[in-house]
Amino acid sequence: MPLDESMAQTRLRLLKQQHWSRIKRLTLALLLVWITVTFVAIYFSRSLEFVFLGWPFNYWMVAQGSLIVYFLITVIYAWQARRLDKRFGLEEVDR
Amino acid sequence: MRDLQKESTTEGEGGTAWMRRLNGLYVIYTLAFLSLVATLWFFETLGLSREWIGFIFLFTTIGVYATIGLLCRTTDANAYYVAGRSVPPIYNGMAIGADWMSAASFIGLSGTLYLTGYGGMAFVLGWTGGYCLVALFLAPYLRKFGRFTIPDFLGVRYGGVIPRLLGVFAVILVSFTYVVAQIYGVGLIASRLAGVAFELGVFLGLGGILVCSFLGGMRAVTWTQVAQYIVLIIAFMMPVAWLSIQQTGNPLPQISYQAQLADVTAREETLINDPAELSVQAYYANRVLVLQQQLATPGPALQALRQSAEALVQAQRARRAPIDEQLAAERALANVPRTVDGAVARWRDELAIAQIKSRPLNGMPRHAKPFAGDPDGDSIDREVFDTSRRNFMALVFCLVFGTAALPHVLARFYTTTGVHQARQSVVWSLVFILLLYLSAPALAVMVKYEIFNTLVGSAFSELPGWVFAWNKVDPGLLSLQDVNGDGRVQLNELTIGSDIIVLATAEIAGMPYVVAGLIAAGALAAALSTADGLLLTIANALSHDVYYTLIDPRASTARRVTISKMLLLVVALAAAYVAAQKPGNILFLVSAAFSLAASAFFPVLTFGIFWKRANAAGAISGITVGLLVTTYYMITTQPWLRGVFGVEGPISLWWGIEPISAGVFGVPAGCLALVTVSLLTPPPAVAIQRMVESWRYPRADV
Repeated sequence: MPLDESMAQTRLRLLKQQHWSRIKRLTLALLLVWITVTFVAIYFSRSLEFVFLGWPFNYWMVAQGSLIVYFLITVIYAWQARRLDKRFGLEEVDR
Repeated sequence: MRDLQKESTTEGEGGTAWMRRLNGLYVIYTLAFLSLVATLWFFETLGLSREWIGFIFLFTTIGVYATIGLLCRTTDANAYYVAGRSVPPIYNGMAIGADWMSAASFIGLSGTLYLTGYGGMAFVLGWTGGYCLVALFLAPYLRKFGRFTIPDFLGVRYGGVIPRLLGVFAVILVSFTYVVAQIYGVGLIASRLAGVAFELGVFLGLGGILVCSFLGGMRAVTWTQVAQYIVLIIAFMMPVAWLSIQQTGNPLPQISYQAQLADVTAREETLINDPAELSVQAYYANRVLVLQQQLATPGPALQALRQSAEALVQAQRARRAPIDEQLAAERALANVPRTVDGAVARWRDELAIAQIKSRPLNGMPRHAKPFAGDPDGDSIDREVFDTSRRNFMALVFCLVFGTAALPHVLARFYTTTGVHQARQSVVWSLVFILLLYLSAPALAVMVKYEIFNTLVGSAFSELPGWVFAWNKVDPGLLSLQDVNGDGRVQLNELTIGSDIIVLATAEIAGMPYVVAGLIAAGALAAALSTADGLLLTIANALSHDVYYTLIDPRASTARRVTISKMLLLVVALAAAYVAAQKPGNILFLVSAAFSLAASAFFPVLTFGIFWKRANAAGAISGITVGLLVTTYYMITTQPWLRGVFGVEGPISLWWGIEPISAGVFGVPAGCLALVTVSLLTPPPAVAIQRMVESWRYPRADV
């Protein structure tokens, strides 16, 4: 019995470690995307002068493009984090 | 609404039946609001006066918000502080949207974009991009932490009284300036909408704010904010869609305004080389020289001015000129400043305006062009370009991190049922915020298109009626002067205040007055909802974190809620009092709130969540250093603050960064201080480290 318990404990610890490292990787990846569409895109804005679907691309990015990417970042995070929670059995139990 | 109240007290679990009833209620509410607009429109065609339309909008909307507030009244601490933690993500999203979008977003943003083009996009990026940081770094962890306020987080995570008290101080510092601006906006809108005096408008609005938050706390505020969001988004989208149909035939301007943008860009090119425009610019360039000479020797210049005005009056009398010419000469004499100080102040203002008007395009940059200057030009052009780009990025930085650190928004993530719902809340709030933020740039371009193509070049004798109407309301909003006397409107002869863009959209597009009333009602909803959230945040920080935690930990929940209500009243009255003084520089204070919030809260919150080693000493130094660096930079560089604090000597900007973006120094300084001091002092207790670890997993028992 104590052995089972300690094995269950170890299992949970491992699950938690894997879950956290995956969450960290997800966060970092999305953060890099965020930095790219925000600061990198702004920095090179003058060089990004070409027509994109009828828009000047640099203007379109700050007016719409980046905002759409922001939305996608939050969607992907909510979806993937939930998937990771479930995969490692760490999701909240619905009341 | 009664059902809603009963359900959320007895159940609050967000069951499907409850959710369905909630959806039904808000659909009915939306339809009722739309039919109110339609009914008023019908009565307008029958001759209902503008005053009555404004009045009906003002009182029905405030009445509805007050009713929801009354029905959601509560004395239960969980309901009062965190809405019973039962707010479904989509409604939390709407409440955050309303909480977030203030009068400044609703009215000011499109105007700023009209005047500054690409430069104003820093606000669009900053105020939306910040939600990515909220999603990735804060919302799910704060929900798992699951207490009541943001200082609460600091108190529990870092332990001890000082981090909590510093948190309370920063909450008040950040939120109070912001709430004053909202109440000021409420007074302004109420006085324009219903024609009441500004001070009366302030206290009317205050009443509207108080009935929502006073009795029902977070629960009442949440459900009123949802109602306010619906009003504000209808009020913004309807005129935008209307204008878009007129110009492009498509009700979705986001998809179709590139044609308008291309036209505006082409028109800019012709206007820059237009001889009539050049003559107006030359007139103002000459004014600049005259004013500069007058300012160099103000005493003699004033005397000379008065003498020539007197001489003119005498001459007109002597030659028995027509009576209106005599009167004009006398008015000019009466208009000469009485004191040298008065003259200097007026000439400085005139100089600032003349300097702008002596530039092409009325001082506006080209709409779609990023940054000033030229990276391939001479050394001055390159310098201008680098500084402009650096400032744009610094402003985005401050707004982004400030967004992710504003206490009244973060507190909303305590109100969801769980961690997953907190993540979904961020998605929904971004959806509801983007609806407005994707439309505002489109509105700015469409209005510019209209002004460039119909107003500029038209004859002064055939000006549309709305020009006079708004000039009468406030010449600062809109004024025109035929400087070169050619009888036609030039762009540089037109002075536009940023607020007019949204307020006059209805008339520019030739819509009935009811739409103008609707826009004002939307602006009112935006200001009221933001003020609600802010006031509640301040009052809760004082009652929960100061009174309950530090003064009387054994206070019953009923007593805590009562104390919170009393404090709410006091804070609201104080804010209304300050707003009624019409403080200057209110816009600077609001923007400064973002830099302050970013440097006070972002380091301690994120490091507190992601770095177990961060401890109390680190947190204290992080907040203090962050705030000190930010305020130091602002006080030494911002002209108005320099005056208040009596700072002398020349302004020295660090890397040319404007004072509004002081947070760009405060945030890294705060992070650095937090990390260094934490490493130099012992790690926090094991229990705390274990708690920090538990926030990583949504499951309740790990």
